[in-house]
Amino acid sequence: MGGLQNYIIRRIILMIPTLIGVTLLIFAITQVLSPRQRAALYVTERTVGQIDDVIKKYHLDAPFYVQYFIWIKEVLHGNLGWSKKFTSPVLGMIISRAPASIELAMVATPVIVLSGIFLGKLAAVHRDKAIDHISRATSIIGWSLPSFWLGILLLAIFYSGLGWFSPGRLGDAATLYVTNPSNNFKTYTGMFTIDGLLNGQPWITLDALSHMILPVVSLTVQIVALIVRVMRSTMLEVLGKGYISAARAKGLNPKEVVNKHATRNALLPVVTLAGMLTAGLMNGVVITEIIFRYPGLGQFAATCAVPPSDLPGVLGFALFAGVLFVVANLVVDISYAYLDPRIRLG
Amino acid sequence: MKKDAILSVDELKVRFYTYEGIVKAIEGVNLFVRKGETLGVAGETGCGKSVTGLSILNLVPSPGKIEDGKIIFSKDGKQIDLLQQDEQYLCALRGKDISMVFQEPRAALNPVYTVERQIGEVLILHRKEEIVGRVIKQLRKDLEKENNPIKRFIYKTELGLYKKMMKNSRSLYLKAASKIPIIRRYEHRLWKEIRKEVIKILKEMEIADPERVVDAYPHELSGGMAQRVVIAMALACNPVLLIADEPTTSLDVTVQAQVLDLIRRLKEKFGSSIIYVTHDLGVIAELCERVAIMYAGSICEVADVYELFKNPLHPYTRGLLEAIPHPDKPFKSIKGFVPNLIDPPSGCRFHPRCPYAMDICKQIKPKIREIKKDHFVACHLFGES
Amino acid sequence: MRIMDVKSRLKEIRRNMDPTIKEMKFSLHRIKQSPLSIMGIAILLFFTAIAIGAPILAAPPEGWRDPFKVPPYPPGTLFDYPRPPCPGAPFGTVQGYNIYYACIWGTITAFRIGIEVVAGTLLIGIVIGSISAYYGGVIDEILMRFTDIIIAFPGLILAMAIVAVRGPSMDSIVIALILVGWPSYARVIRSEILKVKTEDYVEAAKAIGCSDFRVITRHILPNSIYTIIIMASLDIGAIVLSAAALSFLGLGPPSGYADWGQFINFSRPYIYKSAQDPLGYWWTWTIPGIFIFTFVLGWNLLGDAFRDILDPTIRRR
Repeated sequence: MGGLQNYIIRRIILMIPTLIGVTLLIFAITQVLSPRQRAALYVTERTVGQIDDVIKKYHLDAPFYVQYFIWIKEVLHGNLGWSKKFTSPVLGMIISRAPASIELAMVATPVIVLSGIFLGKLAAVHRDKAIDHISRATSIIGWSLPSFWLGILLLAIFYSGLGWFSPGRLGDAATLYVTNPSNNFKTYTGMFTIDGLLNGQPWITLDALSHMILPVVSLTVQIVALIVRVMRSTMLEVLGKGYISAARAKGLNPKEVVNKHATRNALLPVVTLAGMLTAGLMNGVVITEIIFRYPGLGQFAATCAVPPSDLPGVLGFALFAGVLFVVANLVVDISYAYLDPRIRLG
Repeated sequence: MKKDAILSVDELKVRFYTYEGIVKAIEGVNLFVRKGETLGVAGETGCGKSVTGLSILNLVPSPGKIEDGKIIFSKDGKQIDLLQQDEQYLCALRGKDISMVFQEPRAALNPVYTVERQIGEVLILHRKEEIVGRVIKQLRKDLEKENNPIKRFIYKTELGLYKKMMKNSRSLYLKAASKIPIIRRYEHRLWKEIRKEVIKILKEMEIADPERVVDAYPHELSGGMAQRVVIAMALACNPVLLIADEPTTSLDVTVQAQVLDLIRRLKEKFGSSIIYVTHDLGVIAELCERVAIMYAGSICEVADVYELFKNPLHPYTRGLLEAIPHPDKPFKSIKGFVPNLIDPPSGCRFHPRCPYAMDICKQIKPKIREIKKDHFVACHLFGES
Repeated sequence: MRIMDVKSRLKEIRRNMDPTIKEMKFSLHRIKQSPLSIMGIAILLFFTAIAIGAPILAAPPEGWRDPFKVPPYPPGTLFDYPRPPCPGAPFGTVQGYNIYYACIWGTITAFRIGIEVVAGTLLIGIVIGSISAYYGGVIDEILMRFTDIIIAFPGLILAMAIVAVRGPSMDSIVIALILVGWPSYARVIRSEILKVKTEDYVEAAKAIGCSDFRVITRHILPNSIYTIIIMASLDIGAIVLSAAALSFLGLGPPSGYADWGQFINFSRPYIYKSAQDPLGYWWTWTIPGIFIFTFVLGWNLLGDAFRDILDPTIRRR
């Protein structure tokens, strides 16, 4: 598949200017503040008199490009700033919080993808019949629900009302267990579902999973709604194409035509939706985690954002999210080229 | 049904239910095709010829519905009404006994699959026993010669899977097997056989470089090449009847000539009957033995091609032939417009444009009658009213 | 005139009616056919009525300067435990604020945000997209790289960063959402214009001597605009939701402003009341949410209906 390899290489090269642009944009946002305001991020109430020294030391009044080079050098060395609210380096916080959010995303993604594609396909194939209307109505309702409100409602019903689930990442018993040094709980991946099994304590895995159910539901509803809508419309478009009737003329029954011919072509635009899925997940965790008190990246970002805002935290997180998203889009584009041979030439 | 006719369409009625009204697209069409002959169905755009072709395979798209009529097909010595059969029967019939070729070749090919995969699909559907049989034979030979116990085990499992495929190629068991990474390699043998067969078919289509075409994607093929591939797909299982819906209309003239030539040769080689739908009288003259002229949803005239061109009886046919531009004669066209089929003219649908229209033409629709031997006309000018 | 003549003349007139009017009639027919679109229109009319009638439905107290600042109930108290619905405060109170008042005036806030952001993104998007498509070359490359960079961020996160830096307020949210939103529109209008430019009917129009201006206004723009209108109407719902999410995080107007997102945030401590009556403070977390949900639902239904009805390629399916 020479064409595919060339495409991959080309695409990776194209990614580099975009990454540079991403860093430039975040840097430009920091420049909105005057040097004094930025210096204020480095001082506390006690050291407030030293603001002018801080400005000189960090070259906060130097020309734009000089500051950018200093800044980007720091970033590439892993220094994303210091978060006052959490009193730790931003990058360190991001790394320590990442596994929790990745866990959520990992559980949410298959649910979203499978149900979205399935429902969308169903709606298109049974167009204008009852299933189509129900599916579209649920999709529109899901699309209109504010995710933060849904999270609160879920908490109200299932936590306050029924008492089945509770916020947070682990229950009290599990938390006591993992923090007790004598139990020797090794965190291999930082994800309690996997670590629970690796440590031979499956009940911790179950506990973690039960705490993930509500956040995952809250995350998926909005995104699934979007996928169903797009899948339905691309499926409808594909079903009207010539090769569908040609396939019927070959003797394939309607179900086979849908599964073998229509789906593969309809999936193509949906794969680009995977990019939207990643964005949706990233946006979603910020809101969901703070509602469910889930200690992941989203909670970090949201806590930093709440006024008075912890700017290094917010901006560091934004930079991280931007880079991650660019890489995710790269993966999406490559899978698109794998599925659709026409793209490889372009 | 006429003797030695393999397909006969009786009083076919097709309607389309749209927002603007009910389109009475086909109102009482009668046709028949004999074994080994090429029947041309000619008419203007919108007269219903494509819909007639689609109705034979019951593939009329919604909002269209076949309201009435019989389509009698002669299969294995029995006469079967295709419109009464269920979907499963028709699926076994399509592509195998009756095939269809559409107008836009590249639209008829799925852009994400190679030629090999698409032609192979027809082979797996309808010639499964033959090809899987070959695979099994080869497998058995390999099994005898092989001593290595691991390989013997692999071959035995493959043999089991292929035997299952012989019995029921749509079984869930096989579908699951083809999703599991290592096990799905068993399909390689099948695709090797299919590839050989597909290359053979492509050679018969007079494609110069079958090895390259087999691996190509549709967007890599030229229009003429794509149409040959589509024809290959249609003829892969040696159908008794081929319905060709304007297959050369989208090709340029030189390529069109090549494809027509090919069709003629294939007809002789395979002995299939062809229903050739087109608006191009020149192609009809080139290729067809009998012609049916259609106007606004019904048949006007059916005759042997020489007879029709020499002695056109129906006023519409005469108008069509006179309208063919000739360097010596002044340009003549049929006055009026093609009617709106939601509210068609009463009686004979051609009467508003007919120079010979009589009172009875406005009231009663003429039935199609055999005026001379094998020459049918639906017009009040001929035969008793 | 005989009856038959009148009938056939009417038929003829019906058939020959100006195609534009015919198409509009068809659009109306489709709208009537679809219960979802009717519901969407009804919902939006309802909210418009509330927005217009706010001064009457929820009159600010005597001498109250800013109607958007929610008055407390009972008057004079603040930061109290939530009181249940009662005649003075039909939806109860939270943090001492009158929820009914907040929801009514919040409707105006929601409309304001939606319209301001959509207008801003459309304006900037169309201008930049058109310039890019018209001039092509280096300008096009630069502008498109710029849009790529903004699109390379998950929207809410970038908006969060912008609002955090500018300082939380209503205007910050509007500006942040406009800055994050315009690139998508710019790209779409650019690709639509490019697509239309190469279509045969533009060539044909030029061939019969249409001036450039006429070609742009009568051929290119009408065909490109459809997609944008549909995109915008589908997007308003998402914009209102994003703005509510930002205010929910505290990045919005100051505390006590009539804004739905903020009030949902206020309800967070009151999700659980006590062991005997866990859902006791239900009015705090249900009512503002219902307002947002229904408002966004109305816009989404309308946008969906627009899409099904206006898009020329799928109208008649």
